[in-house]
Amino acid sequence: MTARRQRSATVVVAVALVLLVAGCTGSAPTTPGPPSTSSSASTSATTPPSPEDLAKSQVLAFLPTYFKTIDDLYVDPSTALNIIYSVSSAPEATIELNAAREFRLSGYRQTGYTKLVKSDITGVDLTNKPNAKPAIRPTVRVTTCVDVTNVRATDKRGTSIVPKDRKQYLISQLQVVNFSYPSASGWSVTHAPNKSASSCGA
Amino acid sequence: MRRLILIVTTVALLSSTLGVSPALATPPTCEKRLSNGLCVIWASGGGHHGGGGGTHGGTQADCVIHTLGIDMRIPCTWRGLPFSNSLQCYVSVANPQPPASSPVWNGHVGGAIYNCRLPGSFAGVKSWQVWSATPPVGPDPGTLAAHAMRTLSIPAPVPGRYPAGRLQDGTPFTVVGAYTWYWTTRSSFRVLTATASAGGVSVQVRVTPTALTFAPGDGSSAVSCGGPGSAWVASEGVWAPSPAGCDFRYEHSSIHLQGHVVTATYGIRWAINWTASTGQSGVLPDLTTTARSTFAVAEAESVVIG
Repeated sequence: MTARRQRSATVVVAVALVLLVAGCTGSAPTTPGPPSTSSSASTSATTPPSPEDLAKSQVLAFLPTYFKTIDDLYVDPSTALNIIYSVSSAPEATIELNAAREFRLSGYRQTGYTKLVKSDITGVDLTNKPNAKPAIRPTVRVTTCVDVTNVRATDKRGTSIVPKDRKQYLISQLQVVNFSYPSASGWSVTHAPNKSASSCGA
Repeated sequence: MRRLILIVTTVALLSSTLGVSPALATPPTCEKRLSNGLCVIWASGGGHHGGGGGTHGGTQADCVIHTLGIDMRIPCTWRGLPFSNSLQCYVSVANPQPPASSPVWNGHVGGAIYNCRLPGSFAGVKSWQVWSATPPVGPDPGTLAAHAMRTLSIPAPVPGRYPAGRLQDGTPFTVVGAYTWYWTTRSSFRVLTATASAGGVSVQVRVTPTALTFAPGDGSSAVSCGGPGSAWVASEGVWAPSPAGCDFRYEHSSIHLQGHVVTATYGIRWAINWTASTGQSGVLPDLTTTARSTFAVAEAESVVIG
């Protein structure tokens, strides 16, 4: 629960920053410049974002936390495995949890973190019918590209287990679902298939 | 494309538990890869859930597991369970079958639910269930029968013959025009059985001798009889045919043949049937075990009956 609260705080701050930046580029949040005092800023302040834009910005702000949480599972063996549930839900969470657990049991070690390079929202559907069978939740689909150059992994003997032909980038098709909509902290990755790529444009 | 979710199993565990070795198989597409490059989900194009994509455990040439980015050959059976290349696990039929209301059926009516197992270190990885219209793997009974056959030693005939005297130079002989009885021992002409089991399937093979053949070695066609033949006894007389019908009459002396002898070939022809615990049955190709016997064919007036 602590992790979820931390993430909520991160999301709130990030959302605030995104709202201050004119327009949504669809890219990963970057450090913004000083708040603008121009008239356009005043105009945007008087026009509340649409629910879709708000969902987009929330998800984009959430993604760095998601990737860092995944990396933490591999980089720091003391990280509780169930922290995965703070950013992910079944079936993706199960896959990630099992993979991380098995990675640790194998005595593997990882150093380095992924670097989120690009995030493109590909779909937003805020239909929310939690009582339907099956339940329908607000869902954002996003294509991300992360640079894995700095990620290294070794076995017990210190031998690298990173495939020699690993490509520099991983492009993921994330399905991000909000299980407590409209709470900004309710976003959770439920599917995350990916593929290796030589560039983020692949 | 249906997904084959391979929940990660460690290379180390597999190596130590099963004795895996690098495989030459072409790896399938990785559907989810960790940032460190290891693959945790492989996509299979085989459509295994439909039952058509699997290879039968008993007949597949190799059992290959794709895990953590590495293809490895592994034993095709583990704890008596056959490995399914399509499911990437060791499989057995769930017993009892989950109720029809179980989500694992996923709306299917026919087929069956199978337990999938992998040597792993925690329960979530070790066992799961899948539906399949047909057995995704499983010992092919015919192959199991062949395996059972390899455990058997099928006897060759033990040549017996009459007339069976020896010429003055010690060469064994039979007589032109006489009924040359041929036989084998009863112990070499008997039904044999063997059983092989794998993956909960048991197959018994039954190997039955159906004929004793005799190729005279003088250019004549082989003859045969339905049993081991009868060993000659004096009470039958010198010129009597075999009561078992296992005899042959040489028309000419072997004096003009190479070495002045003939080499006759005895054969036991075997029929092989198998029945499986699944209710299936079948046959394997007949086989014949042989033994040779070399002797002279002599004119009666020129020999001394031994």
